[in-house]
Amino acid sequence: MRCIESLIHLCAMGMFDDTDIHLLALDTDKNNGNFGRLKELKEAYVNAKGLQAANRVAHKDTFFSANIKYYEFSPNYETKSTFKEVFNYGDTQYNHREETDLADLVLDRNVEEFNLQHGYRAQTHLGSMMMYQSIIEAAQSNLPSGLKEFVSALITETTSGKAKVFILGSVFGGTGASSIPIIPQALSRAAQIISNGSADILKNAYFGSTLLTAYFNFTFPDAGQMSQQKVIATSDKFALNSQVAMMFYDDDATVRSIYQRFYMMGTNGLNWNPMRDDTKAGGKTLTGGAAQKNDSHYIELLAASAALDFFNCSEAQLQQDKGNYTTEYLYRAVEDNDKFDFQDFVGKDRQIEFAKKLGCLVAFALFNNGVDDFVEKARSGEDKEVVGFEEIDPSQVKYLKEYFRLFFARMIEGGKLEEGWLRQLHRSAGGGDKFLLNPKLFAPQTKKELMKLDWNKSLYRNEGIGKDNKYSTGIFGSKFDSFKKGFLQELHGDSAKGITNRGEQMYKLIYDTLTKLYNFN
Amino acid sequence: MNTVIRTLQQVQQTQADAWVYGLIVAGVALALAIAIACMINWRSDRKDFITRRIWFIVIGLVTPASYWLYNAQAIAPKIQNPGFKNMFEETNLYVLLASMGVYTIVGIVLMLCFRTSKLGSILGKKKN
Repeated sequence: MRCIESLIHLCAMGMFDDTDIHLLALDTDKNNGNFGRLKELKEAYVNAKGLQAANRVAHKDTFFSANIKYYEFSPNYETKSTFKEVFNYGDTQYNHREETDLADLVLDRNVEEFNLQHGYRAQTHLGSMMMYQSIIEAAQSNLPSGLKEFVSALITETTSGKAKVFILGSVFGGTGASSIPIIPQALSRAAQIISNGSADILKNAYFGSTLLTAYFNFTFPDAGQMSQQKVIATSDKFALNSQVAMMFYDDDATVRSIYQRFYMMGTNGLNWNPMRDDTKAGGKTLTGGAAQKNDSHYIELLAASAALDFFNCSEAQLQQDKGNYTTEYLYRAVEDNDKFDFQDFVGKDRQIEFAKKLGCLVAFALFNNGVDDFVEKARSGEDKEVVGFEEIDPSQVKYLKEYFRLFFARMIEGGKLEEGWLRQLHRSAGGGDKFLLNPKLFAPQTKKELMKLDWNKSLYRNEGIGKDNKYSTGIFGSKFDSFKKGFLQELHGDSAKGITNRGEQMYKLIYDTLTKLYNFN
Repeated sequence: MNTVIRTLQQVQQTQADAWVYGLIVAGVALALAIAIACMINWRSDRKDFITRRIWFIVIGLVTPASYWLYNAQAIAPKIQNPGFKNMFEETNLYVLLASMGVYTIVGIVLMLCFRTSKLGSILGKKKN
């Protein structure tokens, strides 16, 4: 889920220009806190683009450029919540004894009996089978579901050309690790069921995936929890799980013949605790549920960047790999100085674009959610010069603000700031000047301190990409004054003419203003 | 210039000078108002136009009034003939009103021409 969050943030920066992205969020634990946060983020993104889903289209060189269509699917384990219940073990052992014997051979009793509502708990041998079965059942069902809509969209895409399907997930946990090996076949089989055998997804789509190895740890469960839960994922096994998974992906001929690209990634330690606020967990290990809302990590942005690379890679190359049944394994090492640079995420070819779009989105967030309240004051008519935006729906502006709260920081009681995605990534990278942007951006703890920050010249670090991308305000000027002047100049241009939604027109003008202010043109 | 003004010709010349300098004062006041309007930043609270409006009004009052005062205190006492003096004082009053009028009218025309500029913001909200 957190990798998809990062992907959506890349979309908001404008890294997926002119692209329709169909996102299928797949989780066994539908009440999971991170699943909930993803839904909040998705809602904020798509509604910030426009409230009418039918009118949303992809754009170029602007914020929120990609058109995201979101689907979700969770296997239903509410009534039948264990392997034994799902497969009707009780009756089967009398009617088809050989089947239950086979199950007993590969699954031990605890695995057969643990509650699946919180996921597959790192039991990938069980998880792969259960996930495949759930997808096929959903395809066969007469009831509408996000999965069926997604597969139908995939069928449509593959009839007009080859689609690119990218799977984001880890190899060491439960749902993701279970799903990566079987998703292409499961989607293909589901497409055959939905299209009555006419669709061939395996033939008409390219597949790529992340192989995300262990990068975090969490509180070790106590003896009481262990005996109560029967099976529980523990982070001390993550490294071993990762190693075994990598051996599988290197060795398994079926997987290698289906996937054209694997992006291998990991960290050099497991020191990251994604539940910084352990009070929600009450000191216990969370197997799932609403309280499991883990903080984001920079490696999830790297995973989303892998998806970006996959979507931008040459179709001829993918076709060649597909034809030869070969898989490319890609990895990137970062510099020894422990500092992350833009090229570490997107490569040298796109590093300036990434720097520009990330930095400008941060500046947009600060001008919009801070005291300047730019979009709302234009919409409400309070800004007397920025005219023509009164028809923007107030809800669209509300969603835009919500997006920026999730992106950068949200204000809580007493004017204090709560970390958003970008600030969590900064912390995960070690803080200070180790992560892409100027450390001053991440220091303020209150809104007041943040608004005092001179982000006109302290957006980027003082070295590397972005060191020259700043703007001065003059002796008597202010950062907002320069921004508004630039915006008013853009307002008289025609760069936003191809966009129909007034809100999106405004984002485009803001994008053009900021890229010019920060000397990216 | 400590020259005493005695003749009708001198008075008429002084009146003509007052008109010309009055218009120059209006122009200078306008230039000053524009410069100050541009120097006042766009502000987050969007109340910056009020500051510009206050400056525009103050400059429009103070500058012509200063010139009127200068004429009344420095030029008029040099006119010996009370009739001529009255003529000049009347002219001085007209110059004051004219320079204020020119300042206001030209200023508003410029504001309308550059509606989304800082000068234009003095007018307040634009009607769609």
